[in-house]
Order: sequence, then structure tokens, then C-alpha cells
Amino acid sequence: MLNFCFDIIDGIIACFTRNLTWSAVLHTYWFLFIIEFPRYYFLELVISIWHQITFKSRKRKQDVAKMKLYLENPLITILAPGKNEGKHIYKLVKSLNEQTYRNYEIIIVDDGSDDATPLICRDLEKAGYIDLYLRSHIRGGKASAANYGVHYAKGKYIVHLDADSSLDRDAIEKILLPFYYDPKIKAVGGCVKVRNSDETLCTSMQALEYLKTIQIGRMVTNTLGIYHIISGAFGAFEREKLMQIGMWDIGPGLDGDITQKIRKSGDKVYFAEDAICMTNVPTQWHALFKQRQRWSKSLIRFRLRKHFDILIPHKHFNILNWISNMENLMYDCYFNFLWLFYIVTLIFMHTDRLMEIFLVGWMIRYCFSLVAFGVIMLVSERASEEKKLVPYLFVSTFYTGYFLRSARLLAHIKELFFFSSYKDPWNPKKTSELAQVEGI
Amino acid sequence: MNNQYSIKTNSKGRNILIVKGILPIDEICDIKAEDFDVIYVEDTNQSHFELSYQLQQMSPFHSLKCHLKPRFLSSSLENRTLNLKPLIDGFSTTIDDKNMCKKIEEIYNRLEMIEAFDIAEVKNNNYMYFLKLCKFAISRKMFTFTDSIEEAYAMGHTALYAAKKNNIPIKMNDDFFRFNHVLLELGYAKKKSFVERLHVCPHCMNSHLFYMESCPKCDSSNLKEEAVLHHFRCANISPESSYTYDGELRCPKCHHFLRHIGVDYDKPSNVYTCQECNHTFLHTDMKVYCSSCKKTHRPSELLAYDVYSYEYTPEGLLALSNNDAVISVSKDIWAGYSNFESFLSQIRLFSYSHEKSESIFINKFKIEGNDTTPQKIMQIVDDFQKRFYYNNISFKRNYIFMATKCPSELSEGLKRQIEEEHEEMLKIIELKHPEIIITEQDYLHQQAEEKIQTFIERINKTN
Repeated sequence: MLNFCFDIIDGIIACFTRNLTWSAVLHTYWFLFIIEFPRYYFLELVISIWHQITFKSRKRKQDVAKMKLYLENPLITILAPGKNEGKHIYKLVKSLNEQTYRNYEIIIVDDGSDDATPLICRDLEKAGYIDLYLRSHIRGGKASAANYGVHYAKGKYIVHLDADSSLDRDAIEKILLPFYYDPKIKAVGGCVKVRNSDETLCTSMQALEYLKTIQIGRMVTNTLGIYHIISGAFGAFEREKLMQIGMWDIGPGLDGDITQKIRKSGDKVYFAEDAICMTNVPTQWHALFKQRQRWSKSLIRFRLRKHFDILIPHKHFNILNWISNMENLMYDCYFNFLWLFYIVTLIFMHTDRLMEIFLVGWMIRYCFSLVAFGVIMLVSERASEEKKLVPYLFVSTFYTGYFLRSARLLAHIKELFFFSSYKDPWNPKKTSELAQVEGI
Repeated sequence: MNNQYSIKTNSKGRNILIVKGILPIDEICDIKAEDFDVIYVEDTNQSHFELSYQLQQMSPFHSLKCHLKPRFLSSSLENRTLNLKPLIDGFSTTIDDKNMCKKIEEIYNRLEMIEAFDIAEVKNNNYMYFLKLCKFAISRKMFTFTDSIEEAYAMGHTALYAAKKNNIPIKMNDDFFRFNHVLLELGYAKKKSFVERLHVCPHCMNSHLFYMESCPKCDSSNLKEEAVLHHFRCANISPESSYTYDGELRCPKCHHFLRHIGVDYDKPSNVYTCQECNHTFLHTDMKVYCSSCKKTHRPSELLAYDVYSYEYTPEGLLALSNNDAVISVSKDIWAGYSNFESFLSQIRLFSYSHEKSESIFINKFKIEGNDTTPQKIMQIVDDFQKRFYYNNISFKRNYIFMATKCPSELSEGLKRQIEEEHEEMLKIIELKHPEIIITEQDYLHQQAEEKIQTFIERINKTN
């Protein structure tokens, strides 16, 4: 055993002293350098620096928008649909009570809860904490619950929240500002962060991932004009536009779907990286694996099947929409299969040096992760608190490189060949069956 | 007029006044009280209204001549008497009916045990009507009485026995409630069992309330209830009216026809919309409108009132059977001595049933010294009763309580006036009872500002 360890160390030393040439590294780690590095590290670094450079002009733009917002002071509707979310509602309305933007109504839609949610919500409605409590006695799914709320909403903008989320004091204000940057902006996504990051290793890893893929990742896609998913946990929509596009369709993955629908209608979507929403994430690995599979299936179902027309030239073809969808499909779907191929070839080609290759690969990835974390620190509004996540960078390679990829890969295979999203219990059977028949 | 009545003697020698049609017995001079012992109403095809009128004319409460005398009706009238049955002793086909004769003798045997009812003695008595009821009931061996649901009564149930005054709905508010209370307090009756709990208007104690659904926002009852439809295919949810298209259901979002409930769509909920303020909600509020005082309340503001069945005690039977009870019962509940529990319940009652603009002022006297036995305290209470101005007086341990009620705007002035008077009066009482020391404390209860229970806790607190 001891000898085996020494062999590995010798191998690594040899790798760095004798065998390590640029061509050899590139040849071995081509996937990392050609596929991942340009998109996830280089681009993010460049755009984050650009983001810092343009800070003053963005601030001026924000100030003007803020003035316009408060001059108009529109009524907005905060909509939180959900099932069995009663225990979170009080915390949510308390956090809303602290908001700097005050002209809002709160609508809670209960999608057939079978716990104490109706009692809690009726009490809160009576006490004036929420403006309208709507309840479906029969579960209809998240989309129908959200649509139910929209129908009775009076606000000019609708802020869609998950009931278990809570907001920064200025989050509502910040998510509304982009509507005043450009009248073509009809929907704005907020930045979702992890509230229970200290709970388990699983939640800490997700905290890191959310920072990288949501706060930085979406800031990058937004800057490039290819932002393609307004998170269901925190997103704002112009009510009129929402009604025009027929609101939400059956999920799972309805947040990505509605963003596509808005983009396809010719309007813009925007990501407000400083409108912060905190949410609880799964604490157990198996729950996380299930959640990610659900999310990943929607990529095939919506982007590849339902909105395939974006990818082919037609009358309303839009190059940014094409890039947005392509980027998403390539990086989250196609490159996963390519990664599988890469790993398999690596195993077969370098069977004798496998351990060294993986260790060196991990070291390179770790260095990249440090750079990526530096980018996060550059952009994040609570950098000092998020520093505590640094130790988890050691294992982030395994989490994003292997765990999440496996979940995605499995989900894509299931969805591509078995249409398994239509069987997901997340949605009621009655709606899923019809959605499958209609091909939506 | 003679063809409307005749007097015949039955086999037992009782003179029976036979009434045919409508006969105002007390107004006909030819008919004297001593001329007949029994009243019998013949069937002359009277309508229900005519029969009711006749029974009121000869009722024990209004007719001096008939008073407690037995009264019978022809058997064929039985189904026309309805709620006036308690005023009738029986039905028979002829005046010589054996059962009727037997019952007449039984009633007379009982009446011999009951002293004559002198109406002159109680002419100023608020409770005369009830006393007559009691006396009539006792003469008919009805020793228990249960308040039963009756639409004609303000509090929703009858006082003592089902009977109407001049066939006009009685709206005496809490008079009979107080009467029951007085009977209990005097030990003339006791609670037998719980009957039911009623909710009455907190303002006027009336139980004739209308419950109405209302908008939680503007309180309007102009509400529209509509089912909400969920179209499975496109997840659209909106009110049924938005789906109505040329007599069919068509989804406003995807324009598909909805053909089959449970397959294409379902109705997961019902939503109310206020037609006044356009507010939408799932659960209506409830408001209660009092038909008497025309005020609107929330259901939680209504007063719960427990209805009991009562039973006369031997003392009550004795007192109510002769005129002893008349004087005692005729006392105003807010003018005299009560035991402490009754004193507190009267304060509560006052709070419930009087205008919010009235106040209660209570003087609490602490009696200290070597001799503070209950007998001594009672003597002092007697002296207080003679000298002080008050509405009600009571004592508990070595504390004497005197309650005075007055309009709120006068309460401060009255308080000052009473304080001045008390100073003088207390000196006199202390002179008479040198062995005791009296200290005084004042408590003012403004109805609009304080809950009655808080006030009671305040006065009940010993220093």
C-alpha cells in the first residue's frame, strides 16, 4: 500500500519534472482547456473585470432607474405558489415587511396542501400579513398555482418567489430597476443564494455552485445578451407581458420555459445580480441528485423539443436566442456526452498512469477554482461572509466535475429516450399525461 | 249578547260559563266573577285568530274575572289553539265530561291552598306579569319551567312559560332574564339543567340576529361567488366566466374546448369577488346584524347566554302562592342588597345591557377592628343602606361594596360629590361603631374604556 502511494508521488514528480510539456498537458487535459476553461474561467474573469470597470456607469444607470421607479411607484404583486409551504410563509412575509420598496401586495397560492398551510395562511390573511390567499383544493401543479395567482394579481409587475425563500432588504427594489433601464425588458431574474450553506457538506457545495453558476454565470450570460433562465425562486415579470404569453406552462422546468417564451416574443430578459434572494437547498445528496435530474430533464424537454424552432432559421429568427439556446444545449447536454467519451478514452489510453492524471487534473482544476473564487469575491456583495467556503474548493472538482455531471447525464438519457419528465411526480399525473400527448 | 254565552251547572255543582264566539268577559257587567267557576269555549267555527283573541280575553294575566279559574275548550278546537295550549286546562266534548269534572276539582283543591291574588298590591310591579305566570303555573302543578325557543321573544326564548301578551311579540329585552335571576337570588327557584347556549346582541341583548357573509375588506355583502377552472393541458386557472364561450367552455389561454371534467379540467376552488371594492378572497367574513337595535357586530362580539330549565324550591312555591313573594320580587335588582356573587353578576349584566355611555362607580369600604364578625358587618351594611346613596350594596369578608351607576359625562362630578358626602357619613357611622375603623377606596368603570372583567378583578383585589 505504502509502495503504491510512493509510486503515485513519484509519478506526479516525474510528471512535473520530466514529462510535463505544454503539448502533453493540452493533449491529456484537452477537455478542460478547450471546452471548460474558455467558457467557465476565462470568459467569467474577463466579464467580471469589465463589470468592475463599468461600475460607475452602471451605478448612474441604476440611480436614474431608481428615480423613475419611485416616481411611478407602481403596485407590484409578490406571488408565492406552493404546496405544504405553510411553515415558511411567516418567515417570508416578515422578510417582505422589511423591504425598502413598499407598494406591494402579497398573494399566496396553496396548491392543494394537506398540512396546516390553510390554517396558517388564513390566519396571516386575517392579520393582514398577506393580501390574498388562494387555495386549490385539488393539486394542479406549480404552473397552475402560479397562473391562479397571476389572474388575481393587481400589480404592474409580478415578483415570483418560492415560499421557502427570503430576500435582502433591497431585493425587490433591485429586481424592479432593470424594467426602467429599457422598456423592452419584460422580465428580470434575481440572484439566488444558499441560506443553509453551513448545514452539511452537500449544502456548502451547493452554496459554492450557486455563487459560480448563478451570480457569476448569469451575470456573464446577461452581459452577452444570452441570459436564458429566470430562476423560479426569484423572478420579476411585467404582468401584461405574462398574460400575453399565456403565463406558465406545465413543468418541471417552467422557469426556463417562461424565459424562452419571453425571449421568443421579441422582448428582453435581464439578470439583476445584486437582487439577492436566499433559499434553502437539499441537505442530502440523494435529494440533490433527484432535484438536479429534474432540472436537467427540462433542458431536453423545453430547449430541445418545445423550443426547437429557436435553433432553425425562420421568420422571427434571432441570433442571440440561437446562441443562448445553443450555449445551453452544448455546455449542459452535448459536452456531457463528450465528457463521458473523454473519460472513457482517458481510462483506456492511460490505464497505467490513471491516478497521476486524475491527481494532476484535480490540481489544475483546483487552481482554476481559486481563480473562479477570486472572481466571486470581486463581484459578490457579501464577499467576507462567503470566504468561509474556500476550504470546500478542494472537493468542488468532484462535486461539479463528477457528481453534477453524472446527474445531468443520467437525466438527459432518461429524458431523451424515455420522456421521463412526464412521469415525474413533481407534477400531477392528469396534467403531465395531457402535456405529453400535446408534446409540450 | 246572551246568545254568546250561557251559564250551566255541571254534575259536581260547578257553574260553567259557556262561551260561544267572541266574548269580552271582563267588559260585560252582567257576568260577575262569582257567577261562574269554570269557562268553557264551544266550537262555533271560530278561526284561529278569533280563538286566540278569545283566549287572551280570558287569560289568567288579563282577565280579573277569569283569573285562575279552570278553562276548557271543546275537543274540536284542539288543533286550532297552537301555542296557546299552556293557557288551557283541557279539552272535552261536553261540560259533564268525567275527566273535565275531575280536573276542575283538582284545580280548585290547589287554588284553596293558594291565597287570592290581589292585583292592587302589585300594580306598580314591573314583574307583575311574571308573578301571574308563576301563580297560574303553580295552580296547575307546573313546578318546573324551561326556557324554550320562541321567535316572538327578544332573547329568543320564553320567559317561564310559552305565552304571549295580547298576542303581540314580547320585546321586553332582559326583563324576564332579570326575573329569573331574582327568583334564583331569592332562592325561589333553582337551576335544574342546562338547555342551550344562545348568542345575543351585545348592545340590546336581542337574539333576533341576521348572519351575513361579507367582504373582509369593505364589509359589503354584495359578493359574487364563482368557481375557478383549471385547464390541465396548459395549466391555465381562471374564473369560470373567462372560459364561457358561446355556451361552451373554451380556454382563454390556449383556446381548446373543455369537454370533460376530470379529464380536460377540474374545479379546484371557489372564489368570492366583492362587487363594491373588487376585492377577491376565498373565505368570506361573517357579520351579524341585529334586527332590534340595527347595529352590526362581528360574531365574536356576540354575548353567549346560557339557557337553563328551572324548578321552584319549596320556599318559592310557598312565597309565590301567597303575596309574600310580591313585595320581595318587586324590588329593582339595582336597588338593594345582594350577595357578592349576585352583585358581581349584576355589574356584568349592567355592562352587557346598558349604553356604553354609562359608568359604574364603586365605593369599597374596608372594615377593620376588633369586632368584624359577619353579624357586625351586616349591622354596618344596614347603617350604610340607611345613609348612603347607592344602587346596590354587598359585602365580602370585611369589605363592603356600594355600586352606583351614572352617565359617563357625570361620573367625575358624581365621584367628587359622593366623596364629600361620604366623609360626613363615615364619621357618623364610626361614632355609632367606635370599635371599627373604616377606610374607603373608589373605583370608576368607564364602559368605553375598560373591559368589565378587568374592572371586576380590580375591585376584587384585596390590599
